[in-house]
Amino acid sequence: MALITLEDVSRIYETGGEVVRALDGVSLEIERGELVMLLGPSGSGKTTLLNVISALDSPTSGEYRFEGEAVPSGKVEAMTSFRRENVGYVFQFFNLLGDLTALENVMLVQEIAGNRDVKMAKAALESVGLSGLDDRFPSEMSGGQQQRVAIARSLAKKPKLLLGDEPTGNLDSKTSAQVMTVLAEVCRDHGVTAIVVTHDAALTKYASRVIRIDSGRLVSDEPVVSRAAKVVGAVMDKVGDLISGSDD
Amino acid sequence: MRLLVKRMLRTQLARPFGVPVPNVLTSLFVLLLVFAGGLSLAMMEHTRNAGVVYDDFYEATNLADLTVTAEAWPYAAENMLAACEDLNSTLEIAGCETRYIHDEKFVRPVDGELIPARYHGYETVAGQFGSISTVWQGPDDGRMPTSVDEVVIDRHMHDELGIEIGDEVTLILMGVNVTKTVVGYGNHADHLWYVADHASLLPGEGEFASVYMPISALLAALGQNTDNRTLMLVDVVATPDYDLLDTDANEGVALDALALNLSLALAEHEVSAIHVEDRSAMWSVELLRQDLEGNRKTLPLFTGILVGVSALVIAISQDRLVRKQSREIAVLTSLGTPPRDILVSYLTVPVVLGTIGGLGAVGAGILGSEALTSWYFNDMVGVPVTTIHHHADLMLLTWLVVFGITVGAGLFPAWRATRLKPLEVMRGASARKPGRLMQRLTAWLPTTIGLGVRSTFRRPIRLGTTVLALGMAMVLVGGTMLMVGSMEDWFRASLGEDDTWDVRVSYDMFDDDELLNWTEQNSDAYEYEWSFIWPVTEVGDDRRLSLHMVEGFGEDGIDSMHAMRLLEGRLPVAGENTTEALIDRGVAEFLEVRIGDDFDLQVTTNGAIRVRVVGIVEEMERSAWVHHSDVYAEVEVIFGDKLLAMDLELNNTLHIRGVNLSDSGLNDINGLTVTNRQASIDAFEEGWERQQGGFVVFLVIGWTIAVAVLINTLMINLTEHDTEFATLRILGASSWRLSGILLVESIMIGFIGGIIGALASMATAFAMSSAFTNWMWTFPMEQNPLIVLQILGMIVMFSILITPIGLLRIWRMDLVEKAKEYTE
Repeated sequence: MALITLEDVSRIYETGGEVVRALDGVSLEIERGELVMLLGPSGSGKTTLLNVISALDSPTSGEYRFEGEAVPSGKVEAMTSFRRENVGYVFQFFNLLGDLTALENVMLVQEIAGNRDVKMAKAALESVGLSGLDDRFPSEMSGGQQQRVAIARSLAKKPKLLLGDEPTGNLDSKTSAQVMTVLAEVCRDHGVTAIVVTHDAALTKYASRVIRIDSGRLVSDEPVVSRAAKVVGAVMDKVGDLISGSDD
Repeated sequence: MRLLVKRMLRTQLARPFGVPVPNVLTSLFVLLLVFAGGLSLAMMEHTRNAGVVYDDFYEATNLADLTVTAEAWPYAAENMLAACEDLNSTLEIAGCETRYIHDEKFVRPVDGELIPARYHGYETVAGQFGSISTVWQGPDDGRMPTSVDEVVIDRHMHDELGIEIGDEVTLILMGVNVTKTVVGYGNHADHLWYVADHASLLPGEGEFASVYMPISALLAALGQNTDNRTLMLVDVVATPDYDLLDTDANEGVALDALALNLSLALAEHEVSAIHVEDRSAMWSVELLRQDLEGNRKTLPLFTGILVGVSALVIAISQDRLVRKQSREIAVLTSLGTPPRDILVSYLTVPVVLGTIGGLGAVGAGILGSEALTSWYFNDMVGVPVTTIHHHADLMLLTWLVVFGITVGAGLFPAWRATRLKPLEVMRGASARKPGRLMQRLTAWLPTTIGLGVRSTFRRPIRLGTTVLALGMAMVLVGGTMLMVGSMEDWFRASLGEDDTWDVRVSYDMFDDDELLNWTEQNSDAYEYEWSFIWPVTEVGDDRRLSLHMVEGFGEDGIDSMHAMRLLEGRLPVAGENTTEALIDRGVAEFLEVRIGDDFDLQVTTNGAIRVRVVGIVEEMERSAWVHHSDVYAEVEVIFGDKLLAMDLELNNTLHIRGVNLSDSGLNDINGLTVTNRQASIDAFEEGWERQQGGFVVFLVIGWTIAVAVLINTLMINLTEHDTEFATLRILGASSWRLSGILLVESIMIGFIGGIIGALASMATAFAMSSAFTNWMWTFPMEQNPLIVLQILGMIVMFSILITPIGLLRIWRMDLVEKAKEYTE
């Protein structure tokens, strides 16, 4: 059973008298353990799709199931509860609470989920390579470190799904690579499904699947093949061509 | 520049149903400014108008500069006036006039009850009904009496008892019902503050009668010699200054010298058992003057508080606005907008608010002044004020202060806006760094609670400003609550809650046969305590106090019917070489008399007695208390041969225990002033109830301001929490958990503000009681811990009650929009 199932989901807004189809009949399934990149230009509907998946927003039509069950729609507290139990979120601007240390930011989310565990919070920070920085305030950390705290924060409550909306959008390329490496590793290690929205096509190498979206519709949905596999594939194609050419 | 200003003004508008109106906070500020400024102007105008009203009234009625009061027995007018003729003084005497004053009873028309009454017997001078301290009448108030069957009543009697011109009224004179016709109403300087018993202070409606009548009619009804007088009034040319009771300097040196000369001249004409006094001894005149003086002293305090609170609130809000718009400002600066333009745009709102607020304040002040002055003089004092003056200088001052404070409060935030560095803002480097100490102190708490505590102290300057504003608001509320609470407790005790007498009788010792017979007839039925009460002064001082010569002393109402409230020292012992005495706290403070001091009391112009202070007591009136047996012989000698020859018991007051007044027959005895203790207490309760209206106004004002300050701070804190709360909501935090963070913050702000408010209240109560404390009116300011706790508790409670506003904001938060904001 897929973790996430969307069937013909649309999200329509009315803005200034104009009707906007932010999502237009989107259907897809996401399996457990996948790291999915959502790519698309500005206004393509990436964030809207993420909002629907995270139950921040409700679809206007269509069906959204999580682990085979319908996701609450239209009821704020039920949707909040869904996010609390199932979803971790990583923001572009980190959105750490400035008055709390790194460790406290992680523990806060645990408290929200009702299972505060200092050891686990420390382990989460360690898993993103930030052991020893428990006591630092966000203002005392670099952007990359803050984002890693945000990742640890999201994973500390053991979510089934981790969502990131431009998580590297505020970072330089080197730091982006570090953060994505960490993200991919911890998701794999913790068995967490991840969906990341990004503009940056270079980050697709971290993904297991890339979905492109434009004007509210899925344009493509492809697994990501590794470079080595691509090279082997290219060589095999060439060999195949040679073999078929020599017979003639 | 125009667009910047337009943008700024739009930030202050909301658009419910598409109509632009000032948003809630902006409206709140304007209201606060209008209220603060309006109240200040109303109070200033009232104070100025009151002074003019009093001055005009005293001039119109030619209020006497000196009074000669015969306390024990009347004297011949001829002798009194002769002394006036013989006066040798640097001050010129315009005229002297004699009068007869008699206290007895009046039949209240509505129910036939007998109420205390004072009858003023006026001479007709050059065809006029008196020429000094006359009765003031308006054009529709009838006329003065021209025959012996006519009287003029005090205007209060007309207002409270509904007596009209042409009505017949029944006076009780020497126990006999005497019917007269009312031909007019009027006001008298002695009775502007209309009370029968000065000790009770609070007016009771329909409880007192003051009647002005031809002296011949009064004397005839009393069976007195036509030449007998109890009062002489002296009018001095140019109304010289007199010594004010509440200042250290003597403003009336010349008048004091005249008074002394007059005393001597009167003594030469065998008029000696008298007091010569200036206007400071006229109870009503002095009380109103003190009240006005108290207003003058406290007005700057209240004005400063109100305007200060407004300024602080505006400063906090403007600061918040700048912070909220820091990115926009950074963008504008990056685009090359001159700092001057940014400054002007951020000053626009304070200028607009100050202008509107100032004009509103002036308007509200004019209306308030009309209402306040009209209520005070028409309802409280009973002097009809036909014209209420408005003063352009005060209006301008009010507008300038409101405008100046508002613009001033907005100046610093506007200046800060011009100093923001775009790069720092964009990078978030200008964000405040949290405190490590606060983190360590709260690390042990659950994280959500710790976050609430840290949020409170996140901006210490704003927190400090908020609690300061709260503290200032509490000055009004708490100061009033503490002072009123203290006053009420003191009044109740002073009215004799612990006393055990039921009835007090004041009588003329020269006409006590009937009373003595009554006591003998009822000697087994009731218990009696006799005393002599006489007005005295300290030798060399002119402030009047009462000398109480009593049978004995007790603190519990058992050993003596009047329970002494001993503050220091001990009760006097009879028979000591130097007469032992108690003095009240006011005497001790103002005359600087301590326990162990010898204290000389001027009984009449003829002589003084010396007492030694052994204790200080709490009493409503300024007084000294001695054993009757210790001093009566000495006092009799001072009164002179006339008294000695009459061989009278030197008593004029009788306390009776165990009597039911209505069944006793006391009311049938001529010439008595009978006070029922329970009735006095009931009258106080009724009078106190009526005064509560004014106190309630202050309380409502103060609490409104406090709540407004709390709401303002909460709203600002909420908007700063938007990002945090939205993040937490996205991460799955329930509304209840977020409301817990808000609640912790609200409680912290409320608690800190409450402590500051309680401390400010205590300080204010002391300041207020000091401002209104004087020789006539002094009471101890007791800090009631219950009231202090109540103040603290109410602030915390209001803070908690405001939390749902924050919760509502969280519920209504559009997370989708917020999520969009968190990505580029």
